[in-house]
Amino acid sequence: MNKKRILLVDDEPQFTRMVRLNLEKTGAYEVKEVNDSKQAVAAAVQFKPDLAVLDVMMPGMDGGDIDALFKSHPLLKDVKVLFLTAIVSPCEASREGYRSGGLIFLAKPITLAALVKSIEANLHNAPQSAAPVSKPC
Amino acid sequence: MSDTPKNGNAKSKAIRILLVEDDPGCARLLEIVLSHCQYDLFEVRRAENLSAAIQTITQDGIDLVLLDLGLPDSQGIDTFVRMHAAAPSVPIIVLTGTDDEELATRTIQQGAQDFIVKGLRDNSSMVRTIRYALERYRSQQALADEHALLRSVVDNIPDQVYLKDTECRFVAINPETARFLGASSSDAIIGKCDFDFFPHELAAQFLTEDQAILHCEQPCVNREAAVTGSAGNMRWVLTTKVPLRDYTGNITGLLGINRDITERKQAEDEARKTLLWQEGVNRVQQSLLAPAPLADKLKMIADCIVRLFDADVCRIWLGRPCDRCEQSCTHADIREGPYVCHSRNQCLHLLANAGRNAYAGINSHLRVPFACYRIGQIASSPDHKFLTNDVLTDPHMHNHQWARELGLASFAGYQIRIRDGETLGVLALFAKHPVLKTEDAILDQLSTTVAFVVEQAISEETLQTAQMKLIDTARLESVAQLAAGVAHEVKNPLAIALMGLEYLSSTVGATDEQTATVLSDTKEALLQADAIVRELMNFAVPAKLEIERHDLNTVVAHSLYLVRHDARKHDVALRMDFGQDLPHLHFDRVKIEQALVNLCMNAIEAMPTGGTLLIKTRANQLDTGVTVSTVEVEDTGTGIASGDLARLFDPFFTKNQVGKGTGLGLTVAKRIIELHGGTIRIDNRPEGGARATITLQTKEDKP
Repeated sequence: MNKKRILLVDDEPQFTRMVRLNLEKTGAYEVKEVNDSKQAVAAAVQFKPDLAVLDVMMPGMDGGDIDALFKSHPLLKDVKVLFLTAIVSPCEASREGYRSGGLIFLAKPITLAALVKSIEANLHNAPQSAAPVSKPC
Repeated sequence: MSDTPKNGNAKSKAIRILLVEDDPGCARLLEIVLSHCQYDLFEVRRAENLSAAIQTITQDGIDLVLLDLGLPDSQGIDTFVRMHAAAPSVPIIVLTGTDDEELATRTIQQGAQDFIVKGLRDNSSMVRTIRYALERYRSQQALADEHALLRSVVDNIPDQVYLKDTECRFVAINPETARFLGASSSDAIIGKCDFDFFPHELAAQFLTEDQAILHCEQPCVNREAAVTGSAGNMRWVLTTKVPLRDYTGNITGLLGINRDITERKQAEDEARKTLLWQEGVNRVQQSLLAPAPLADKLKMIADCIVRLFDADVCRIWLGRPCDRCEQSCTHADIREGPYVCHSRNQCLHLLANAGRNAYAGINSHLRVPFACYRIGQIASSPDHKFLTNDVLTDPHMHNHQWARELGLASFAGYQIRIRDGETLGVLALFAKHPVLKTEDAILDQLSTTVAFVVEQAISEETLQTAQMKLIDTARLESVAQLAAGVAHEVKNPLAIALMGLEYLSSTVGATDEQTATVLSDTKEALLQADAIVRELMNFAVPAKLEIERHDLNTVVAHSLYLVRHDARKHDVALRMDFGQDLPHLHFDRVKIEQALVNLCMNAIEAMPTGGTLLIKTRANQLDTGVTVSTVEVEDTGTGIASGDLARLFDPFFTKNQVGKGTGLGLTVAKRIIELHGGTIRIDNRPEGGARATITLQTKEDKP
């Protein structure tokens, strides 16, 4: 089976390592970490991810900028994007997700199960792609 | 001798004499005699019979009548009587024959000045008789006039004037004295003494006084004394008594003059009392300026009224008990019976009670619904006060028996309100004496003082509440900001730890049970930390609402749907009771859902061994006409300890075990509801368990 390629962009190397290890352990994904946001586009062009999980607030370039570059890049315009951030609460995240359709926000911290669910949903382009939050907080 | 008047006396006024004599000879003779008088000028008119004489006398200014009793149209004494009746103010000298002296004497008794025996008198003696008769008559008249004047003075002055003889018996009294002694006429008093009219002791005192005047010649001048009158009423009199003497200087009795000075005394008394009251009231008003609890101030006022006005009872009731009632008010005990209290705001609560009979009949008056009893009627009446000095018979008073037993005479009740303001309560008092006009005015003034004191207390309370709320809000805001800052920094390490733990879990697998437990406990702890951080962030989210129009029932139903797993886990049954007539409301759906979920979670956690969670929605019309929607979340748990009720909404206040719950759920819920301009309240249900009530105002426009 063809493993899906996931690009992780976050300035916290420990976090990307943990997420990579977890995702690889499922056996379904091939994961690449990028901790310097300015390298994200170059890394993506080389890695050709199916989906990118972007932190929002990072030094140098933030998640939104990277997403915009992807969308305007001929090779990266089809890459699915998930935002994973500490600045929004799960409530806000789910709402933003439902709202903008394209932009899916997930809140840190997140369980592996929730992350996988969101990744899978987005890979298959389902409309209810964001992981529903079990209850408002 | 001549028929014409003497020139020397022409200017002096002639004495006009009417000669009534049918015998021409006799008449002629008299005319001659009179015209020859040297000292007086007489002008004689003559009438031959009585009717002519009467006609003349009523027309002309006659000074004197010489009257023959035997006339063609009248005879004897009757002639005199008729003549005298026709002109009572004209002196009459009767002309009589030598054989008629006895008859003449009788005319003297009837009022004739004198009589002349025809043919017996010489000229000069007849003129003298006429002159004397005139002089005598004039001095008689003068005396009579003087007497009449004196009489009229004595009869009409408002003082009592009386004469007593040496035995201290009344000899003469004026009508005022008769009135004072309660006699129908003066005659009823004559011959009686003070013992017939006054209590024995007082009469004895008067007697001693009188005897001192009569025997020791000690006059009594301007002596003030309180006298009980015939009607039993107390009067103040100013008495002057002096001895009366005859022409030889012997004391023959005494003259007394009493002036009724009751009204003056009362006015003086009232003025003095008024001054005293005013001083007392001023003192109380001064002391009310010092900060003290409302109930203490009211008690001070009630005590002051009892002291100053010698009241038996003085009580102060206030409406609006919820905030200011010193005792908890459940209206359960007056829901039945004739006096039904429908509304909490329409009930008076006794706040101050003073006086020697303060506890008489107190139980029925601890709480008085508006319009019930006299007190409630005063509160709801358009008149701001009610005063009666006759409580025993006044049909407006209810409990005459009670008043009789305590010997009460007067009742005064006043609305407590500032002019044109709402009625805040009632001040009332009972006393054994009548309430005077000046007292009434001062009490009225005091009731306004009470109103100001109450108003002041209300505004202080409002201010304090507002300040507390401000401090509260400021405290929450700073806590929230701090929490949000920390939360963000905590999230990243939490995210790493969670992911790391999950990696470890999948690596270790479920081979070792102990390890599995440790891993799952650690994960739960991390999720718990995450939950706290998440709520902190919510708490700090700026007050920005996404207001849209929603059906409250739908949102409530969805909130229940969100907590269904937790409810099942805790064996809690969910029940809904939705009002069907709820209007659509404008609110932030996600935030209101969050608040509802927090309340539901709180309720579920309050039932660790299971129970029922009932969520109820209603539309309520307030007294003010505003419609509000309420959501009630009821649980069947253990309820809330009374000491905790006030702290429920404090951040991080939790009754859950450490490690369970964040202590922010209710704080967040409250914040959300208040952002919507609503209120939230949590109290214990009488049946057990707790109830959270959210009240949201129905607004047609977006806030």
